Amino acid sequence: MNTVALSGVGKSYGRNTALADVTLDLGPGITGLLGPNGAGKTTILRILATALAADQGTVRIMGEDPRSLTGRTTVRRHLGYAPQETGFPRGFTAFSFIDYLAILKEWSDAGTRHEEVRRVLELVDLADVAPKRVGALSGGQRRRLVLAQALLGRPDLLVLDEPTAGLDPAQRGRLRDVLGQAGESATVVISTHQTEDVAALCERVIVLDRGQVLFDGRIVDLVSEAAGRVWMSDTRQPTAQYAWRTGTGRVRNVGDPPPDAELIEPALEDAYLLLVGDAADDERLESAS
Amino acid sequence: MSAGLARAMVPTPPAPDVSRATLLALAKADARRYARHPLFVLPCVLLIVLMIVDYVQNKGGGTNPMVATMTIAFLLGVFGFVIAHRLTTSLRRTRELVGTVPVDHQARTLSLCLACLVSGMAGAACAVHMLIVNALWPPQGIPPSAPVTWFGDYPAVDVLATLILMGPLAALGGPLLGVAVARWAPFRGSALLGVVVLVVATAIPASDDRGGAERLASAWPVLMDEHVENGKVLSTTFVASIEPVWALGWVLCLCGLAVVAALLRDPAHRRVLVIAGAALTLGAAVSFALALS
Repeated sequence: MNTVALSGVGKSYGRNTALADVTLDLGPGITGLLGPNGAGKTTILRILATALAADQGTVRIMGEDPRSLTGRTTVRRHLGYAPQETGFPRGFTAFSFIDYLAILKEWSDAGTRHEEVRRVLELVDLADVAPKRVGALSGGQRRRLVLAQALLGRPDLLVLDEPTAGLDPAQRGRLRDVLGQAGESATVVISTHQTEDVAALCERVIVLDRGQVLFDGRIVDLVSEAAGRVWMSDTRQPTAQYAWRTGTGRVRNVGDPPPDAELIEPALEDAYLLLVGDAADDERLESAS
Repeated sequence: MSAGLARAMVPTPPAPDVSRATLLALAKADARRYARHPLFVLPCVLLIVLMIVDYVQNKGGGTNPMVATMTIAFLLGVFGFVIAHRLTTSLRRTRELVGTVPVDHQARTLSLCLACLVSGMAGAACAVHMLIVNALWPPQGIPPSAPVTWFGDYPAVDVLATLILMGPLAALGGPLLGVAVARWAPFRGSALLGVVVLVVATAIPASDDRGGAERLASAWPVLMDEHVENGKVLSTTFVASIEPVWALGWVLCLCGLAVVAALLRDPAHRRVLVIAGAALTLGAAVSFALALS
């Protein structure tokens, strides 16, 4: 049995369709969600985190239906969730904020709870600022504070929306290590715009666009789809969908190469750009015809 | 196989309610937040200063029960309303996070209601201090044989009921009302609006020329009258038309109703809450009628 099973899931906000007929199964390991803004990544994560109910389809998390109060509570007992954006109540220190959330996650024994709070603060490198007011923390520190609360109690399902946003390279490296360890036993779902994070962490990638799944599979399979479509040249090529001057002074082109192109190994970012770009082209052609 | 999968394969029983241990831990945390709130700390400091001033001015003897209970009700009850309102709405900014934890909103509301006991206990401490001071240094009357300001020969049970109602219970009721208002009207400015309503609802019916029913229906029922001559309080008497013990029952039921109203904001346990609310309403009506009979 998978930890998460979505079947024909749909969600709309008024007239806007955020998700349309999404079917997914997720098990232990790290899965990355990629997609442009408005693709439906956050909506999927919010459904997995029981913060939002699907309009259509069936959702099973840990075998439970989150639409029922019982199911929702059971799921929440195994869940760690870090939303993309959150505010912070006034008057809390970093330690007391995590401690309060730990109580809300049913850590009633003060001794073990404080030990756990110290552990997660250590994991995200915030042990030094534990006595500081949350209001006095930097943006990156606040981001890590949100991640710390998600890690409380080593949850079986970890849902992280843009976990590396606002973190410096060293903090991102540290976080990758933490998430890598969590992914050994738990089901970890991360949504991000950073393809390098997905490439570094995830065994599986799901690409969403306009509420639909464009790709669901291994990263190597997605990357292989871009093979023969990335090349270097001295000038910008007209057949390239995307082209940019690199640090070497040469131009990296992604798209349909000319016959004499100097092909190079594609990266995940190239494959993602091609996939989303091709889907947009297909839709333009469909609407034109 | 992961622990999560192993657990997922086992049929899970219905999710139990929030455990007593969790509720207790949460209530302790909320009580700490309440006790550390500047709007609680400052009034407490002010209360202590006023007690000392009162003690020095009266040379150790006597406390004016009207002024003392009014000070408790204002500094702990009215300020408590604002504190409880703020604590209740403080997690709104974090609702995406706290909306996905196993402890539901209703349990958090109950925990905040329990935290309001901090204010009630502070009020009780002030009332106990008042009793001790008056027991150790009885106020001198005019003529010296008659006690001034301290209820003369009224039964102790009536004196206690009045002091509890106008002191500690007012200190508890204000914050409980703050929780209920914050749960039902969490918009910006509702705390200020609530304070204005609270003060007006106290001031209008509390004036001396009103009858017992109006006084009892006030947000802060005043059950005593002071008899002043040449600016000096000669004696304190009870309002003849109100029975203090039943009045205490009436205000206790109102406090209970504030808790029920706050909890009814969430759909869980609605049946139990409606029954409790009905029982408390009946209790309040009976107490009100008996207090005036």
